[in-house]
Amino acid sequence: MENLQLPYVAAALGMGMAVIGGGLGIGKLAAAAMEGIARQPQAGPTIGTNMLISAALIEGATLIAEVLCFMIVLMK
Amino acid sequence: MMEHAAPGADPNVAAHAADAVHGAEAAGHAAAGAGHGDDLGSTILHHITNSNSIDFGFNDASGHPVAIHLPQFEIFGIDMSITKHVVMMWVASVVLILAFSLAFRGRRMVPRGLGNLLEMMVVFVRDEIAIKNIGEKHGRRLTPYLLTLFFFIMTCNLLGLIPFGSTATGNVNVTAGLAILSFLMIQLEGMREYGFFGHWKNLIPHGLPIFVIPIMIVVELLSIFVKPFALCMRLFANMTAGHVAILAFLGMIFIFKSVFVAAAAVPLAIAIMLLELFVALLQAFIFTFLTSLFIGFSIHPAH
Repeated sequence: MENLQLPYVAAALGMGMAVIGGGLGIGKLAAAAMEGIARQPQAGPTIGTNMLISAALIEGATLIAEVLCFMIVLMK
Repeated sequence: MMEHAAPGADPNVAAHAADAVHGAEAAGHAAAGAGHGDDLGSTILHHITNSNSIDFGFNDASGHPVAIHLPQFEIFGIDMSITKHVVMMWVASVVLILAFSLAFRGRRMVPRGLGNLLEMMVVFVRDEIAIKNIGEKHGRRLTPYLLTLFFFIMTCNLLGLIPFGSTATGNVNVTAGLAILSFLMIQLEGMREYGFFGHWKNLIPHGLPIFVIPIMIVVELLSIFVKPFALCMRLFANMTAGHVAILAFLGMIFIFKSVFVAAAAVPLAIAIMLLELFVALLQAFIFTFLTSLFIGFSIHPAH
């Protein structure tokens, strides 16, 4: 049982799941933005900026999760 | 190699580094042999954390690592040592001051060369970030602060990508300092516009039923602190993650103990490096953009 290293397993699983969540979020966002730009090309710059803001917010949550997973490894 | 890293400016950082050494020793016997006799985990940590010396990554003839040792001192019991990241921030400031004073020497109406590039970025920050989010009047007044943020973060990020450089923005203390400044700007600009009590009254939208107001106060108070915290963690995590990825790819050569792994690892590391170049600019933009957006919310609250 000494070799189980459960914290590493937990950190790795957490990292993977955080990426799944963030990837799904940014993927949906980018899909919607592309569709919007395709329908209305003149709104491209506005949609692009707003997409960046939302992407940054989603990415922020994901990265905080990643940092916490990294902390698990460091603190173990 | 690790003995230089142990007494960092922040005792927590040193403690983390020490913990990491134990953790990595327990698990990473496969990675042993990387770096200067250390395991891979501690080598990566040594490159991304703060330290009291600037390492050049090679040894002199007698086998000692070539490094510049920086002064350490305390003021009123607080550790105020000059560390690697402090030096990198100074370097960033000097680079910026030199670049701007050289590029705009001898007031020409139409800038040339470097001045052209800098003017493009300055105008971008003023028109697309400050004025768009804060408004014409306040946007022009706050442009200098946003420009300082943008160029300082960008230069710090880019300095981490050159040889012998290190990323000051990959240190959570630096990004926390920047986020605290942004927090103060958000609150003070709101107070300047509406007065001290008017600013706090703006937290609650008008015309809500009485029983919702306590919930709104809690939510809004939380969001005041969550915004700068997210700014801080986003910049820190983005800059740290990129460097860890580059070093992990290069570390595969030492894990597999084979030169031929380099054929795959080095192109991958270069690809991540190019991505980092983009991320360095993007994160400077995002930090500035979100700060100006929050200042804009504070000056023009939703009624």
